[in-house]
Amino acid sequence: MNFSQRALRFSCNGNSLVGIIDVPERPLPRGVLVVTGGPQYRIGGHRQFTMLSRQLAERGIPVMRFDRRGMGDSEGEPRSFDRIDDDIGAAMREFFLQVPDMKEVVIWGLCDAATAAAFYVGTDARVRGLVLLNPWVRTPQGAARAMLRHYYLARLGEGAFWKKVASGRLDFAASATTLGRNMKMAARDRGQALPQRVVASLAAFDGQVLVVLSEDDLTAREFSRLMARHNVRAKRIDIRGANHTFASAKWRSQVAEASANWIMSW
Amino acid sequence: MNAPLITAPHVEPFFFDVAPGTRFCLYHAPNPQLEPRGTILYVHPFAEELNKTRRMASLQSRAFAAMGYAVLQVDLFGCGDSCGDFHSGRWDQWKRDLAAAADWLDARDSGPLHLWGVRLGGLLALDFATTRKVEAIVLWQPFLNGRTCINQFLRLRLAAGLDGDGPGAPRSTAALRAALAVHGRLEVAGYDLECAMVGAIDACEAINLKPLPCTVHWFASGTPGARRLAAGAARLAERWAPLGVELHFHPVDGVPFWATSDIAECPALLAATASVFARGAP
Repeated sequence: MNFSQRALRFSCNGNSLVGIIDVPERPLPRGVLVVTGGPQYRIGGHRQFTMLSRQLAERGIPVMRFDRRGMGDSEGEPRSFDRIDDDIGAAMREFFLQVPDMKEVVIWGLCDAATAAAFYVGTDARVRGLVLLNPWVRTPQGAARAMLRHYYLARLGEGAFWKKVASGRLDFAASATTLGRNMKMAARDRGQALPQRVVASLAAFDGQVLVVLSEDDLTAREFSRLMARHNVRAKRIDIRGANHTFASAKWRSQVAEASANWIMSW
Repeated sequence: MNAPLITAPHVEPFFFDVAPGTRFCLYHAPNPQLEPRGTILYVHPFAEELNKTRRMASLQSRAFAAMGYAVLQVDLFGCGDSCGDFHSGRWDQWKRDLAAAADWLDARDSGPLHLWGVRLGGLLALDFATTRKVEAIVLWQPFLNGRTCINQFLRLRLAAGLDGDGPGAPRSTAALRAALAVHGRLEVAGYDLECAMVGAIDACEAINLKPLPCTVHWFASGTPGARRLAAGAARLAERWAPLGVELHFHPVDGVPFWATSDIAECPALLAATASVFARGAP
């Protein structure tokens, strides 16, 4: 199906936000709002969200992507993922203005954006579904500790790792900075409230949930354990071999296909 | 008494039709309270560096607009929110995109045209300036050699260890280049490289370019290798002086925001860039 693209500017608490909407010729009544997290703005790592939107729009699904305050092209100061309810709310308002016949929305988010989406649903009855990819359920402190244990410390004795460092094949300055930051955060660990908050949010949500997990990703493994422990009610799809950001066309097309099929299945 | 409202105009995002397809653009109108100072066309970096530098590009665009410049950011073909697959991007197409964007700016605002290129976008801006007259070019941590850019990018695939440790596994950028030549395409860090795209980037070197007369301001992180960079800049300045191209090198302290895992800002670079423009014509 043909679709048109519109570039949007809308306001969130006095700051201008920039977004893109892909509107099919005959839009289905259920739209998708892509929320971005981590270091990504609305196009996503290796343009994943740009291409996903186009694939969903070809199937008749209206899709909106946007930059929260302090990210990408939007104004304002950067803020953490658990403080973006107002940004998501502003995008929802704009989305319904742009597609007046739309009845409900599925929020689609990767990593900490998935967590932000789970927190947001309790505040907005128009959200009837969530697509959560590798949801982030680790406190920054816990994650830093896991990173230290699984990655850096494990590699201290690894010849190949140090050869990589020596040959310049590793961005050592960036790694060293991350290592330092992780050590600091690990030292500040004061508890694990985040997983409980996510479980409680999902338990309170009466809509549909799809969880997509990468095989080769610590964050996904952590969420998988959480799902099992707390009987999280959701459909689950595993992407074999995929890393955290789905850095391969093959994995991204599996994600897009699974997202579209699931969104159109209920 | 009420203070007058400072009405900094907001950014205007829009899609622009340029064959083939459409390009995503952001236009920052110049501060209406100042005399217009000209136009600035932004040239973004390659692949994931485009994402990582978006915040800095946004901050600097708004700063330029506040100083009285009209700024246009355009996503080149196959990049960002523009049409096309990444692997369909071509160096020549990107230069045609810049020409269309520069024409659009010329039609909309008065004053001299400036280019502002980041990383590989710096090299693309220099190449574009060999056929288009511009007042000045701002380079942020530019690649002056396309091959270096591609080598660094290919190393991401070596570092990811996707190819395993088997006897036939590529262990060098040369081996990856050979694989690219055989298969025509190669996926690196989630991006599909294409043989013709890489060939054109590899072939571009600043030392061989002959920009039309203009001033070039090269801003680079002072560490590491400040002396080597300064020597490179001096060589380039000598080469370009007879052409009427005046090169200034500005070492800056700050994080490598184009490569950090989280989004980073580099206030020193924003300040250094602003101070060059605050002095009058850059």
